[in-house]
Amino acid sequence: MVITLFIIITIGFMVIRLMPGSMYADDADMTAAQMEILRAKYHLDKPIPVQYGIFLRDLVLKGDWGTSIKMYIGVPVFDVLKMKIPVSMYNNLFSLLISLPIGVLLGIIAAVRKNSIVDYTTSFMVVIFISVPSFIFATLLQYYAAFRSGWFPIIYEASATGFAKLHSLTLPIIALSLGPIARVTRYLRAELAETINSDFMLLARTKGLTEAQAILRHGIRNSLVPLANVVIPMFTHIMSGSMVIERIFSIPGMGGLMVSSINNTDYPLTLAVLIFYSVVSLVTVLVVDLAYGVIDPRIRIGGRHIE
Amino acid sequence: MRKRPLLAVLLLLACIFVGCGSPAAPEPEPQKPAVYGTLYTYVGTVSTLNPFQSSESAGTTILDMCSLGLYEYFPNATRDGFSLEGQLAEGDPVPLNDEQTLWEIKIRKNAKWENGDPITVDDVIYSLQQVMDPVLLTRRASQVASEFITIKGAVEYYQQGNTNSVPWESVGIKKVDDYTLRIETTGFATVQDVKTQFSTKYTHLVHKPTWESCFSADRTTNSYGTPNGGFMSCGPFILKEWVEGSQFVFERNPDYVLADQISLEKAIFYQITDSNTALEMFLSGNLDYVSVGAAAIEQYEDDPRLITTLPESVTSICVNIGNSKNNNALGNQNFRKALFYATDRESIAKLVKGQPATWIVASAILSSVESGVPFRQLPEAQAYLPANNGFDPELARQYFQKALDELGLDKVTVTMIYSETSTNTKAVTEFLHKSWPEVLGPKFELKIEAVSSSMASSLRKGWKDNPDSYELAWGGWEVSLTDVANGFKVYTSWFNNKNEPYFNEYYDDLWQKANQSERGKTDNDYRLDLCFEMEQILIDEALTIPVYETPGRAMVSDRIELPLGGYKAGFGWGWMWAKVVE
Repeated sequence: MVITLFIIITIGFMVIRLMPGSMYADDADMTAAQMEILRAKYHLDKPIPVQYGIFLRDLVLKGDWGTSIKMYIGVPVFDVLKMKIPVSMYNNLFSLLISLPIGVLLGIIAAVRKNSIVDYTTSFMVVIFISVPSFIFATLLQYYAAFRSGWFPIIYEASATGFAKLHSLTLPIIALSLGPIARVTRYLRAELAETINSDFMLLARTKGLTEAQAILRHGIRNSLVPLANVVIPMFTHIMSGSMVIERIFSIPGMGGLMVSSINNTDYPLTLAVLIFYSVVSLVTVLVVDLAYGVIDPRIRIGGRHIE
Repeated sequence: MRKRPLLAVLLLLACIFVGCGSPAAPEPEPQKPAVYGTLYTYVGTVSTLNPFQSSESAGTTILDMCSLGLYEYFPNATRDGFSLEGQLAEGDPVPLNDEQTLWEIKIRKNAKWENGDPITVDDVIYSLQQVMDPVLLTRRASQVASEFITIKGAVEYYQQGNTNSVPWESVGIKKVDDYTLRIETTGFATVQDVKTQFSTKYTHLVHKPTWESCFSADRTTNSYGTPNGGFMSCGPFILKEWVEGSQFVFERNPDYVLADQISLEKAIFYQITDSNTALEMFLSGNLDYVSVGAAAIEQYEDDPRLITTLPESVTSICVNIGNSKNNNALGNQNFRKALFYATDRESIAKLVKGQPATWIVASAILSSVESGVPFRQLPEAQAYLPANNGFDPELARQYFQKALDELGLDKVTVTMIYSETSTNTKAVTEFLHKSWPEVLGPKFELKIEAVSSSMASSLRKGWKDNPDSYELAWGGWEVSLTDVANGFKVYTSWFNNKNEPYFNEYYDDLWQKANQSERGKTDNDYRLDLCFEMEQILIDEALTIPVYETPGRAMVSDRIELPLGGYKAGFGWGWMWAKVVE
């Protein structure tokens, strides 16, 4: 994981610095002399490998990720991330938390009532929620549930606390959750529908368990194992969806930071955001691998060398 | 049920004490407060409130609300125009010598920071020293040192780096006493020059103790005016709350030097970047102002709240005249003129809901603040503009053939880059992709290439490192709206951030005469004549091909009374003087 992260940082650093143009290209009135002095201040006048060496030295020896040069001038980029991450995490984690139980519940109902009107309706909704991007739902929710009806605030209320804050975040959380709910539902329905027809379920029923008992004790348990493969990476999916949704609801999170830092040619900030998303993705992969062993002991045991 | 009698008794007692008591002496009518109401508006992205680093227009709007400079544009007494008057400064700068290089500025004695600290000349000098600090190096150092005036020794001071070779004492900014400042310039300056120089946001004050607390250990960075740093208000309003990326909450500053001019109690500036969200907020009564984009304009064309403002920038095609491709075809004036006259601006204007433009100076730019007349509306500025909005297919073909003969080419293929995120430039580029070859014939081909906005900007500026960095690209300058002559600087040889590699000594000389000579500074007619000539040169050279302008469109709530009744180029909306009239 560390090696992968190192490679990502290296490639990211090089790609960002190799982008054409000057960091101060949009500073219309800056003189050439001042531009040169500023470039020297941030080591931008040195060859890229030397810049990379300085960056790594500061990162490893001082834990210094660099300072924002164009947007939050003078603020360490790590502090910018610290300011933005909690806001995004609040939405994303809430979204994940409500997606799972609802998705599991709908998946079970659809599988148990397979080929019924309930199943068809659920499947139809699943197709809609998966195929339509989350920002479309965000716009529709904002229009109908906030603007037209006034049930919710149109934008995130920054000063609110407690329930009021959650209230102002309800629509973005719903918009973020619809896709993940649909994914969990579809996956669980398919798994459970297959499991219900398997031999061990027949055996369970033959032993005298009711249909509900058999599904609850054997069916769902076996169907949940492969779900780990979907649920954990879903977090990164929600994070990517929140980029646009944060803009729609004026939520000051991580969403727009990557794009705005690139547009503002704020190299250190772009790299920091890239590292953040890379770390989240890598941790997600690691958690999936570890979760397999926890959820299904056969995988853990199967990996051991048995004498 | 048992509680009801008790409740009745309590109600009866309440009636006796409150309603049936002896009539109290009539209370005096509560005096209507002089200050009232809350303004709800919005801005785009604001990353910093450090006046020396801010480059966002939204940042300027916010700084106007809570910081203080020597001079500011104020609405005039008749509320039909505006003028540059003293904010912290008490009166105009006074020249102390005949050469008009030595100036004295008095400041008001009642100015305070929000914590009660008095504001003196020391604050002004400290702020100017910090913006030009050679180690800190702010983005605005060069502009403070030399823009409308050149402060003696300032350029040498900010450019000295760590050498310690130029002491601050050598800079022409001196304290006479606690409330008198002396400025020395390198050359002749007018009262207006000095006032304009010290009206810019990057000469606004910073609070010394707060600023010092925001320095990094090596004093190379300073986090003042960022969410992680400190900030101290001293302007018309006090910044009470800043939720980064979300909102600014201001409350009236009772200690503001001109507090009697402020009519708002509170102002909330949301940060909204999505235009639909802003429109919904306005329509639901949560905002008092909204900018209406081209996509929504048809829906609100008849709305009485709609205000249309003159365009402040001309969208033009920048031509890289140094590009070596096609035997340097773009360096050929006839070829550039062929493109100029092959552009069907009327059709394009309909496409973008704008107006055709064949000029360099945008429609909103004033010929002078005093007259308030836009430069574009002067008859002399219209006399040299081509007929039919510059669309003449026959003339275009003639120029094209002449260019082919001169270049010795059978066919020319050029590439135009455009930002994929801009709906307008995308639509217009696709239109030109089709229409230019129709006008110029099969010997001409236009290739189009979508790039990100940052990449488009980088390529457009990249000709210094790579002469072939681009061929045709979209651009549009936003220059001073109150000083038409100054805006022509973007085509001078020494302008650092040029879009086109254009170098013309004669043009440079005209610019210097208009902006730096004594006559140019004092004789407005002469200055305007020079501007007409500069614009004619640029149109004739066709190194940038003006295409269209887009007027600003916005709606303002009926409950708000603006100081000038609407938007004025160079002045803005004047939110700080707005009144709530509901």
